[in-house]
Amino acid sequence: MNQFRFDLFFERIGYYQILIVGFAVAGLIGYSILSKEQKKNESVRLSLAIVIVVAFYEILATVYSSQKIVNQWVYNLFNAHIVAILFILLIRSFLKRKRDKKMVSIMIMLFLLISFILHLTGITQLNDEGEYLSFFNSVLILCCCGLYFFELITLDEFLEINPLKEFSFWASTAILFYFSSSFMIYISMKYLYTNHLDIFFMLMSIPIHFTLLCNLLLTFCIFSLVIKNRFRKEFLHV
Amino acid sequence: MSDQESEVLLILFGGIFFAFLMSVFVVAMVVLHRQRQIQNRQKIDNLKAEYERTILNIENEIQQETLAHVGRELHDNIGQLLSLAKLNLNSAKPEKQAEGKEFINQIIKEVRGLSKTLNLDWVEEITLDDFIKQQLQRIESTGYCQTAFDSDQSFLELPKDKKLVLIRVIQECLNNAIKHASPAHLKVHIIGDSTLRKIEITDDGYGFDTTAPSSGSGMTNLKKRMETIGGSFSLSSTVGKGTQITLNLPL
Repeated sequence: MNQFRFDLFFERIGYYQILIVGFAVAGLIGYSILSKEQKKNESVRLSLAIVIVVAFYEILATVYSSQKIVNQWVYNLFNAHIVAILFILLIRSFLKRKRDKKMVSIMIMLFLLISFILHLTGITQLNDEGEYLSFFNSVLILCCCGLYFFELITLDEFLEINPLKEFSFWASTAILFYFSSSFMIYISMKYLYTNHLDIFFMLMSIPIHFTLLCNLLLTFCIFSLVIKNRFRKEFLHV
Repeated sequence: MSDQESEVLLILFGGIFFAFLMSVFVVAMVVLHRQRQIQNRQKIDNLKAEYERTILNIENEIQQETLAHVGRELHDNIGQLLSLAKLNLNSAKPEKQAEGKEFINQIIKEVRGLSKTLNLDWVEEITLDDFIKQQLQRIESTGYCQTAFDSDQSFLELPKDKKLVLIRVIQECLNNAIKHASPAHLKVHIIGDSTLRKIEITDDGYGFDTTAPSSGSGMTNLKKRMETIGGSFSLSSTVGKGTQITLNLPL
């Protein structure tokens, strides 16, 4: 077995990895100083889970790629499955109607079932580009965002809120932008990587920056509660 | 321009266009939400205005009735008592004079009682149960019909505005029963649970066909009045068997 090359690993560490880990650490610190009641908030818990899982798999993927080991399975498992489901659960926590929540739960089940069948039949491998699953989970997340926006403009429960001060609104908007912009990149990844490497690297910066933006927003969600506790000011209603 | 450059440009413009479309979508959602908020605010304002109008109308109606009642009392009761007092006090006999003073005391009591009815403070003092009992006693004393009252005291705690509307609606229902149904028995039953309170007014009078079109607006008014206080009004009637009115008010 080859020895782990720390120098190669540190060579790979850039602003993206530092910021992602920074958000996870900040999120953990913020969460630890929240009140018991606030810690029980489903949106806060899911936001923390997302920033931690993203930091974990990004570092794991960097470790693998730095040691010249294929890391595609890390993205297929964590990004295309776990984080996608966490994002869907986050949007589910914003929904008010029981019927819509149930629909989202069914979507998650459906996604897992299809993923299982695709892997079982060999159509998709854990180490391939994962374009089918990326396409499928992005469509599901976009449907969930659609459900949220539909509830926003039709349900009376949303009438009293100011969407521009609501975490659910900004999180749904960020997720919508993130997944709608990145799913086309993910499904064309194989083609771009083999035929247009320059364009591939240029386009890959879009999901990278959207991931940073989403994680920043999720960390801010936790810190908005800290600010609310300390300074009695509510920048974002969670 | 090379093929790669044109592809980059195409992707760039496509991306910008896509981002623009998404932004338009999100802004449209915010605008739609704002419009709904404005519409909802207008609806609430209209409901508030209607509620205030209803309360004002009811207060006016009660004051008009009170004035008519005071007029009748002054003419039929106090006027008579004053004439008797005058006659007795003009007499030289000491026992007649004492009787005259008694009449004066009675007049003072009657005037005090009447002055209390002139403002609407009595609405706050009286419970709905007491008001219904008074109304039923008045009906029975005039000999129109026999009455019965049964209550679990669900309506003991009630804000003044709601009480005012209920008083007026109950008064109207009882008047309608006497005026149009000529019942032998009139019963008021109050029941409630943890979510809903009910007043049932039942008579065994003529009854009427509820499907037949009505020329008056009495029932519609009663319905509207109940709705302004968050309640509901329902009526069931059979020709020859009487009528039952149910006033529901959620807790």
